[in-house]
Amino acid sequence: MNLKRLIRFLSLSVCICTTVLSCKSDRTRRAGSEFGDDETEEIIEKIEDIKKVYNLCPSPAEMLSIIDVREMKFKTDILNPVSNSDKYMEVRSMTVNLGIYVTDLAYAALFGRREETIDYLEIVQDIAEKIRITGTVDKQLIERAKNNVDYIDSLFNISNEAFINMIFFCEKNDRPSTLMLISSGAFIESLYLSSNMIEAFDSTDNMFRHIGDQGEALENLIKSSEGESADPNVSYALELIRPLMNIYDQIEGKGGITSVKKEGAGKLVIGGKSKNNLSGADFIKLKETVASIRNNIISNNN
Amino acid sequence: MKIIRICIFLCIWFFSIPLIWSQDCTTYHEVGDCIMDRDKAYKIYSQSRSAVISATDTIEFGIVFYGQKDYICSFCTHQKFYPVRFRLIDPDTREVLYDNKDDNYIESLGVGFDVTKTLIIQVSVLARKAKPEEIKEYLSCIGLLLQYKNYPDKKVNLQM
Repeated sequence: MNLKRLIRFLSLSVCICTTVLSCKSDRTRRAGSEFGDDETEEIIEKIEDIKKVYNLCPSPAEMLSIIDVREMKFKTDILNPVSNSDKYMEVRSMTVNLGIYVTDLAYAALFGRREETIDYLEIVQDIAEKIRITGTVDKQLIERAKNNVDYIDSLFNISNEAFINMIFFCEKNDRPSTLMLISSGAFIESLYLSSNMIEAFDSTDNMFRHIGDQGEALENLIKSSEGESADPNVSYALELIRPLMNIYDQIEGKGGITSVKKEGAGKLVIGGKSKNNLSGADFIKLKETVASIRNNIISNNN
Repeated sequence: MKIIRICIFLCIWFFSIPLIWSQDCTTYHEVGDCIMDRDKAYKIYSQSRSAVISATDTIEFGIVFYGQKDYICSFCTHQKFYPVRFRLIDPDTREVLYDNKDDNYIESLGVGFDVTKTLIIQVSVLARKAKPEEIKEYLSCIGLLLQYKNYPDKKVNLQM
């Protein structure tokens, strides 16, 4: 074998080995251990200090899933019209409105509205491409939506997938400010939509409880931006959501206790008191504030 | 010409090696061997996540769990990094609500939430099958797969 062939052979071997090793998913893990319990304890002690923290938020589809579609009517007039997308020329405005539109997509999908779901999916795809979140909503996803228009569960999953793809794209490509803008837009729109589905105040209604609970998601959203607040886009997103956090902070019942009941190995039940119990006045304040923030975003007044 | 070719091959070789250590973990919870409940009522929760981990790291996931839902939390990692140790921690008090050490490091836990709570899931790996030098140097992925379904209508334990 001459030198050229040898080098080619070696290079090819290394590339193949590398690919195989880096893609390996191991399913044969249970046999034996090389460390005793004492050593394990030592490791546990060592790892206590070193931490990476990921604060995560639910998707718009999950935030809206409390809406009982059997009891409530789809309201076209509360969505951001697709035609508004032409107004958004700056990347920041496009990005935060992408969060708004992906939530409108989830709302339409939740009600199984075929035309609206496709329309919003296409506008989400269009804006995502413009701000270079490429491939997160592709033709295949839109085709799947078109082929599943009669299946509400599938539309729900597709709208969820669109959002998750965007989040993963931003995380993978180290775009925390894009992630924060989309997530803030999505949070604001989901709070706006759910508060506008309520006709009259009833403290025992699940929707009220859920809107109160969104304070937890908002807290996590703010925490997720820690260390990034010097970024002008992150700081802009924080300014948008801060008035909502101020309202949640003032709600009575903060610091709910947590109870834990073990139901055998591998099963727990966590109970206790809810952190945020909304009063009628809190709800009205929240509804008005979120409407004002959201309308400024969609009319491009920020 | 020969020298150029040799250089190209060496470059490919050189840049291929770090891939072994720095694989992309973004969707590891989907492609790894996290245990998934195939019951159709369970949906995958969007807060499922993966991260790069070493045997000396502790990672925390702050997760919002909505009330009146049953969740399944499953963990997976590389063969050498098992068992995974995870703890559920109340973020306000830092009280440890659950430690899988007490259940012989089970990899999957069902948790019912009567009310909405944010919990910290603190994860580390014990790497019992790794050699000491691998513990210091080796990086792998850790996946947290979360699934949820609504409580049955009759099951309501709310405290207002």
